[in-house]
Amino acid sequence: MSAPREPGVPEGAATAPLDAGLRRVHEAALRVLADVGCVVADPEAAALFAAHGAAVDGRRVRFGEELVARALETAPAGYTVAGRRTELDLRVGRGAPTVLGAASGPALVLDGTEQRHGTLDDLRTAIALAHLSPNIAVHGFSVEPTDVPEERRAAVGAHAHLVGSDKGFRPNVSTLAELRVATDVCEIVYGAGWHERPRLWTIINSTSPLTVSAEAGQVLLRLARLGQPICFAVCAMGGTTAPLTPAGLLTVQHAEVLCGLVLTQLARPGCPFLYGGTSSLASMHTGALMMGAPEYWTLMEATVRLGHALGVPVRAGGSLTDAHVPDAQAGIESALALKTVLDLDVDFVLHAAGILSSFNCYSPLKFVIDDEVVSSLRAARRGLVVDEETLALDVIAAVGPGGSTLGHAHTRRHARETMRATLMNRAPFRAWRALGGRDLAAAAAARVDELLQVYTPPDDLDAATRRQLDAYCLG
Amino acid sequence: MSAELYEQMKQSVIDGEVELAEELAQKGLDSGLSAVEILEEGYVKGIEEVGDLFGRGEFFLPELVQGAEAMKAAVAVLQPALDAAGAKRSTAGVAVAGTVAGDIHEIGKTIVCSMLSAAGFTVTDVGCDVPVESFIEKCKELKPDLLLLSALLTTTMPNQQKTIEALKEAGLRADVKVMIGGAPTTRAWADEIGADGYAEDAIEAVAVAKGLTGAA
Repeated sequence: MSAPREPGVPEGAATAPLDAGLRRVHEAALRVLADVGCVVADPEAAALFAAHGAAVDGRRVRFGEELVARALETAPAGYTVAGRRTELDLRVGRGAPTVLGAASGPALVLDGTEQRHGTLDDLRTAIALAHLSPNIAVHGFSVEPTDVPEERRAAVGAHAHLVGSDKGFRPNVSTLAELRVATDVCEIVYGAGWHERPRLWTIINSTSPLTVSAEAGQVLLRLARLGQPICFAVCAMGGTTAPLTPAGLLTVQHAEVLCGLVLTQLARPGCPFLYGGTSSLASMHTGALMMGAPEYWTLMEATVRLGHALGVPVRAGGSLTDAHVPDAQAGIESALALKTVLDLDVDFVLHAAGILSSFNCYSPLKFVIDDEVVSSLRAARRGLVVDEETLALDVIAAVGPGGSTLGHAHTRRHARETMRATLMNRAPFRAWRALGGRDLAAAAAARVDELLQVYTPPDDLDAATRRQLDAYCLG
Repeated sequence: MSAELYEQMKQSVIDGEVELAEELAQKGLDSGLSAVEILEEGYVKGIEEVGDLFGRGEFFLPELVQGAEAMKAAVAVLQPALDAAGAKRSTAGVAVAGTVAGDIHEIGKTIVCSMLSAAGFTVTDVGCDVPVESFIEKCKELKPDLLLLSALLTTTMPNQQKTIEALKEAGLRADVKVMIGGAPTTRAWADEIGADGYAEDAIEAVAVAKGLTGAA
């Protein structure tokens, strides 16, 4: 893997750090872009490609490696997204810790063992839990407030996020109308110069296979021209919208992301870009996307490696599962999926907590369980600290063969460093039984109640800003 | 001789051989067999076998989809002769299926269409991003027993409701059973908008369709 580099500093051949297999995937994607091309449905975006030498036939855009190489010269290896206050700024890119985002976008919420459509109250619960999380830094529409009329949902939802938490907010920008709301609320909260720094967390999706829809193209151009980070994410489905074989699936995904990368850099050279991929295989029994399949973990590993080899930050993975309730399957699949990308130093993870039923359902219980798993994985990733104090040779000598360290000052000194689980049981059997013998889901339900009791929204918005926000979003 | 040909026709659907299915249909017509008999003794038996194999978990979706494609290709060859004979194909029901306006997600709907074909329904797939008016026109033209409306976005779900309302306005609501589906839809949504059936996946969709048409 190549070393981190600063914005605008090229880093040699893009494919150099890849193994032979992934190098072939990269080369295959370049061939797809040159021979098959992508549909870029927005005429302005297609014209931009044409103006820079791409072969444009109607909406079909074909281009060679030189446009990709030029884009890679200007795409930054890292960038800082401005937070509401300086201490909430988030660095994205190699060398910085992985930024974690909450579940994003499902219309359904798990209520007991039933799914139902999400409401504004459900969204407020999700916002409160994300606000209190020690791990989640970015959140946005963890569940769709479907009880709010569609034309008001973006504004009412933005208000709930900005009033309910000071963490990074990811608005929906799948239409120009939604984008307008996102930029308007930024102007209210941060002033007219809000876009002088990268500030907006958004996701722009391609439409696999090999299509950038008109609205995705329009939103991308506007955000890029404002210098806002473009997370271009591909969710191709092996066997339905891309080849079923993981290598072919990755080729389609990689080609689409490269298309988004080139478009972003043509619109504004140097614009922050995030390589996004959550592609997986479709079940050949049901057609449903499988996020718990082991092939998904392989695909995510390849996604991170392909993106990092280009020298740009990567969004991949998540606490993803095909389970429908927060049970053992949900825990196993989610933890392994997340560990796969965290171990590769992925830069941004959406759906790091709270998602069930592949991408279809939000669960507060799942959120607090995932959050604790994230804490555990982070604790494990801190690794061994080896120095005089931690080797504790003096303690070993003082205790001697057959002794106990329990009463030693050294043990007392370090006792609070061990990660303390709030949900996972560490009690012996009888003590656990005496405390009610709760399973993890029951413990999570109690934890959600506790957290909602202690939650208080931030009060950092001044009265005038708050009035303006209320009037714009709720008026 | 004809028994052997029917067996080849059946097998062409099982193997998902579109061109072979077409050729065999033409060969059957050329040799003087009746179109109705070709359909019933050859191709329908093939698609039934595909449906059974899928139901038993031995066949996968691509085999189901290819089987339905082969069947469709053969029917296209036979159609003029079927029309000329005034023959009515025995069917579990006539269905029209599409993804509603504003929504380009059509894989789930395509799978449902294949499954319904394999279960003996006569299915017309009207594609994706289908305007309300097009659904109404198709209902007038084909007089289906079932209209299946798919939506994969919360923003396009309301178009399922609008289609049902338009059916009422056109005086067609009593003539057709409406089924809805798609990831963000629920049984509660189906009830709210007055759909007759809801299914979470394609397998359930077939069972619901059979229930609604009395073909179970």
